[in-house]
Amino acid sequence: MSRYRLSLSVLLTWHVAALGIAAVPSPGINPLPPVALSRHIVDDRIAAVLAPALDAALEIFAPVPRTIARVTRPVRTIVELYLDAFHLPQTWNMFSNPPTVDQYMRVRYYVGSEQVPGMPSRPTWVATELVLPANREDRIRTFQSFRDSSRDKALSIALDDFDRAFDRIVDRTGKIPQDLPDDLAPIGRYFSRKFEHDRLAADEHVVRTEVWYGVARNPARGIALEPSVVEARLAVLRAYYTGPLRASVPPSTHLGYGSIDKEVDITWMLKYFEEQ
Amino acid sequence: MSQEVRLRNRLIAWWESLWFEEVPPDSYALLRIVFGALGLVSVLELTPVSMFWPLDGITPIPGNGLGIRSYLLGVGLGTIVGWAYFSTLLIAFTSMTVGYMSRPSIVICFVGASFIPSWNHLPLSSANQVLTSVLFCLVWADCGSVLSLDAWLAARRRPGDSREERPAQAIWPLRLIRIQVCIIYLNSGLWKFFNAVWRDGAAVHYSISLNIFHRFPFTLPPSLDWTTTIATYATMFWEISFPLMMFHPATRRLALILGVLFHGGMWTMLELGPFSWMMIASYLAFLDPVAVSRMVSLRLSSPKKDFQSAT
Repeated sequence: MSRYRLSLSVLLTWHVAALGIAAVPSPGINPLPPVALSRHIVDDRIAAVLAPALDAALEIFAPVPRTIARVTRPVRTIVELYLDAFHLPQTWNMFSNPPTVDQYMRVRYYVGSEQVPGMPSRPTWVATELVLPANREDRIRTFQSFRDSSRDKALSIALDDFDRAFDRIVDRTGKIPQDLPDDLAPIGRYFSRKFEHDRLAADEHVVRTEVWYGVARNPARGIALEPSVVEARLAVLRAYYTGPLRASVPPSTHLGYGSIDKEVDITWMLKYFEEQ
Repeated sequence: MSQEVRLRNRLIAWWESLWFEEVPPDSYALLRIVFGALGLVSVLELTPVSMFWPLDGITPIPGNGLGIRSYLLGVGLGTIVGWAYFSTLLIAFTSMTVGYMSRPSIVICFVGASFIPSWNHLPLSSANQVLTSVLFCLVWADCGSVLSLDAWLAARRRPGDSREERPAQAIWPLRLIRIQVCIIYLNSGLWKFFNAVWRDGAAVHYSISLNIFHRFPFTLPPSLDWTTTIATYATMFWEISFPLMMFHPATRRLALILGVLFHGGMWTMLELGPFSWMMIASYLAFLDPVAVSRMVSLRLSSPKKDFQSAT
């Protein structure tokens, strides 16, 4: 074997080994979920047979990734550095734990008019815009939804980043932070700027922006949602689909993190707010 | 010759054929074209540009990392650089697809695609990860010697010489793509195996119900939920066994056919951006390069250097 091929062989072996090592989930880096028994379904004949068998197989298999992670620990740092340098992360856990809820996000704008320069404006009306999902869910999604999928992804990831950062602060300090993490700020700011540009008069501007996250539980397998519940939710969503919904200023304009609002079976939670 | 030496020689020969066997360049050319086009689609998917590329769009607030984004925002270049980044990638992926300055184009595409997560990770799905991983492998191959503008221009520079230059390529970049795809499926399958919702057969039911992803505005009636149970288990088993199925031509063919069906099914039911297409496109790397070359030559009917089947 020529010297060139020998050198290349070493590099290839290293690269493949690095991919393999990085793909093994490791506690502290990309830990696997704790081994929990699955629900042993009795009304689904296939699941009734396979779920217990797979649970038993997992009990046997579960130590393997941990052992590999422990054995490869000494080289783990250098592997991570190498793969980071080429931007080749090896965690492929898409849909490994699909949410059991439908997810929504809305942005609420508090609009004020220009008054005395230098004095804070008081909101005179509010508008609420549904921003997630970008595409309406009561129609078949085709080409536009392909393009919109990146917006949905961006909003979902920003929300995950926010929740992670929020939990870190709560874990550290033991209380809800005064200054919320800024991961949802780009969403509030972007849509608020767009709303101001598209919808407001020259003397109007957004004085406060709120980002609300909504969830509605999806039925478990074998259960259908009541048609009346589906219709009621769709009625709420169809109102949002017409564009930002204008309303008068609510009695409390200074809601804090965690405030709850309900619309049919959607539970909204105020995640982030910003005064302008 | 002692048995030890014979064994060593056989091992070396096996190793050489595994990584350094020469194959026709057509597989690399096809991968260049398909991933160039998919890269282009992926970049176009990240539009409107004002939403994802300028630093005052839906991008993380600058402050982490090397401080480049903070600096650009500070000096008022956040929008210009964002637009320049987007335009550069568009040009590079177009150039890669048509095979104009193929090698530098692929390098720019790889560097550009791999830095998008540092610029704005928010709108990215696993498709970007797949794209970067495949581009990393293509960077090391000459992907522009056939089926490219480069090849056409080179032929024009040799008037009267109708023979096309078809330099053979080492197989190792193709092997790296295969290994990468196997790792994707195995890793993905194991993550699923560790989650109870996959073991109890309900994962596909929940996945296709998700309002962000579902393509059709209705859910399956409970009487048909058994189909999602089968789909859940089939997906998990297929992903975990994918690397093993690569060892024999018959099982490899089955795994790839199943892969096309799974990804096609996912695409039908869920809006996942270009991910499904990227994975199906990566299967080109698993096809026998000689068969691919024959197929291409049937289309273009150009003389070929003889190669033995390399799988």
